[in-house]
Amino acid sequence: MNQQQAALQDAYETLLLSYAAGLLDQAQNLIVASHVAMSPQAKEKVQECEALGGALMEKYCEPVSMGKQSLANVLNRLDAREAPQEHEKMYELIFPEGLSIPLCLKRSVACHVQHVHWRTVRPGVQSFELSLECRQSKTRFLKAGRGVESPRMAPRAMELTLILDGALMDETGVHKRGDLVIMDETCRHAATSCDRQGGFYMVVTSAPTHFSGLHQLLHSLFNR
Amino acid sequence: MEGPDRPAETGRNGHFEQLLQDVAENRNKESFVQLFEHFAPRVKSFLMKGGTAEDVADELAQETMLTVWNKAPSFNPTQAGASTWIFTIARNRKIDALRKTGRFEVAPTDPDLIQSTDSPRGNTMRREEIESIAEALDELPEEQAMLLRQSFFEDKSHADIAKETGLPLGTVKSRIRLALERLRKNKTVRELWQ
Repeated sequence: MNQQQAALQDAYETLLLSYAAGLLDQAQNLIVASHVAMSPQAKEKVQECEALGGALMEKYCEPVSMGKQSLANVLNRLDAREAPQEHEKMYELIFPEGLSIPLCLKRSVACHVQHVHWRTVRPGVQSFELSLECRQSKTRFLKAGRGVESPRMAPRAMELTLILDGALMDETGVHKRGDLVIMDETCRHAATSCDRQGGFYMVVTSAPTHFSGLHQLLHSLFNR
Repeated sequence: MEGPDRPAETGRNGHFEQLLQDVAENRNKESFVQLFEHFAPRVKSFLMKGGTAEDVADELAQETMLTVWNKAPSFNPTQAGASTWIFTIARNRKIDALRKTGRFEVAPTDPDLIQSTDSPRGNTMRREEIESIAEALDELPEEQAMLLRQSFFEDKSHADIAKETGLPLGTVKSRIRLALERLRKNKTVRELWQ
């Protein structure tokens, strides 16, 4: 593993740990949640961190009395039915037919999309931006034909690409459905769509992150 | 019954896991009340440690417990212990509240794409995992455990912690490193995580 690959692996692990602790921004949170839903290995790692969270909560969160009415409030609401939230039509317009999509992604699309407009970024690449509330990161879906380079949005930013369909190839190898590809400001290479049918990706572009306290801590705990 | 000399423990004998399954299968409100009484005050505490105001934390803890009721059928004891599962719900509620996006369900309850058999570990292992982490945490000197808690619940950078505690940054870092070394050396934790 060369230095760049090691750094990317490092960034990946840190991302999963931060996700488990609830420290990512909304867009990063969504793309990592989707990845975790598609990757048993990622899920395993995230579950380890969540177990640490559960243990810390049990151990160190001295119970704080709930309000007098709190239990009664909750009991009163137990039988109320939750309003159904699915707007299937919207995600049918975004995701290719028959493609299995993580539930969290479907729900987010149902919450945030009013109309769908695909824009041609360059020949062979179409893009649709998902407008989330967070301002730090930008979320797009990309459809790319075979052999098309996936455009880097901002070379100085960190870019996460989740492969929902097809495959991507870059100098580190071939990435398949469910893989999360990280490109940070040190990456100069582009990824190329390499599946015969082309590819379908989710891309989150963020300002470079500065990991603090917990990140460092969890990172050193799990990466020995 | 839990007496004063025997504080509530982390799902020992699968007590909380059984309560959750009873809620899932029988919609048993008495079991739910027991879960509420144990977890709601801890969830509230967890949220307040992260800086959430008490009234908001109380409300989010209620929301968390309501979600526990609604989602109990998707609780899978082979994937997480009760406290871990409820921790993840509380965490998600906290994220939701911060960004006011409404529902934003995250992967652990996503039945879509991963078969539950993906997890090589059985029910007991998950429960033991929580217990052994908790035991390992017990063995840490208080000064180290405190730094661990601050880093985790308050997401404070080492520099912030140094400023607040008045300790030199180097000391904060080396104490956290020591805490992690000790956790890692704990035999059971090591076996579980390697």
